[in-house]
Amino acid sequence: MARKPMPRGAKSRRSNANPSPKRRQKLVLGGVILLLVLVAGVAIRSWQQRNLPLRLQGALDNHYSKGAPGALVVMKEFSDYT
Amino acid sequence: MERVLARFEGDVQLVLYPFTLNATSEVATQAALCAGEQGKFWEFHRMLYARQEQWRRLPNPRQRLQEFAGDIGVDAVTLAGCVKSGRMEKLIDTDKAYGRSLGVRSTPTTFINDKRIVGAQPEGDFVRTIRQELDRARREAR
Repeated sequence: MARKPMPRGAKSRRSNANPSPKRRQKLVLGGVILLLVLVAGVAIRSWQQRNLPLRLQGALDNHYSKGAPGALVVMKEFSDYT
Repeated sequence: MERVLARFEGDVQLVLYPFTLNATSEVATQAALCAGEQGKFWEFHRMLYARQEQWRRLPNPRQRLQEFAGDIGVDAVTLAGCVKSGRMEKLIDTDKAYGRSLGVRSTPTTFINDKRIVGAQPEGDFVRTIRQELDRARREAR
């Protein structure tokens, strides 16, 4: 019985469905590196914010303020009018 | 708070961050910021507190606040256009997100440097905390 010809693209589909061990290794390594970079970025940002005095965090610009600019003590008041 | 500021003139700065809790305060805050574009933020801010009972229970206080605007020299039509445009929403949302990131859940919440005071506490609490922070900051500056 004659063999049925393979559908077009089946060969490439089959090779994508089963990446070679080397390619799989590269994908995993790439994913791990990306994850590490993301985690490091988040950790560095948190550390920076933890070590900054509160008065230096956030934007003081574009906010209505009273008193001495650059004062030793900054009062940040979160309020609503109701 | 203005009394507290006057007491520590030169040593303390007060910075306001809106933290709206409902649709009514959202409108009021937008109106105050819009009044600021006409150079009347602080007048509008004081007026909102002084006349709080006249507008805070209204589901939409826009009209009432426009009526008040004229009393303090704010152009009501310009104010209304500004509030309607919604251009203050982003600032308010940003400040709210900032407040949440600091753990703000209710108002007023005040940070004196990194010391948190929740609620409308007696003036003495603020004065005491400011003094402590000033002493600490001066020691660190030496």
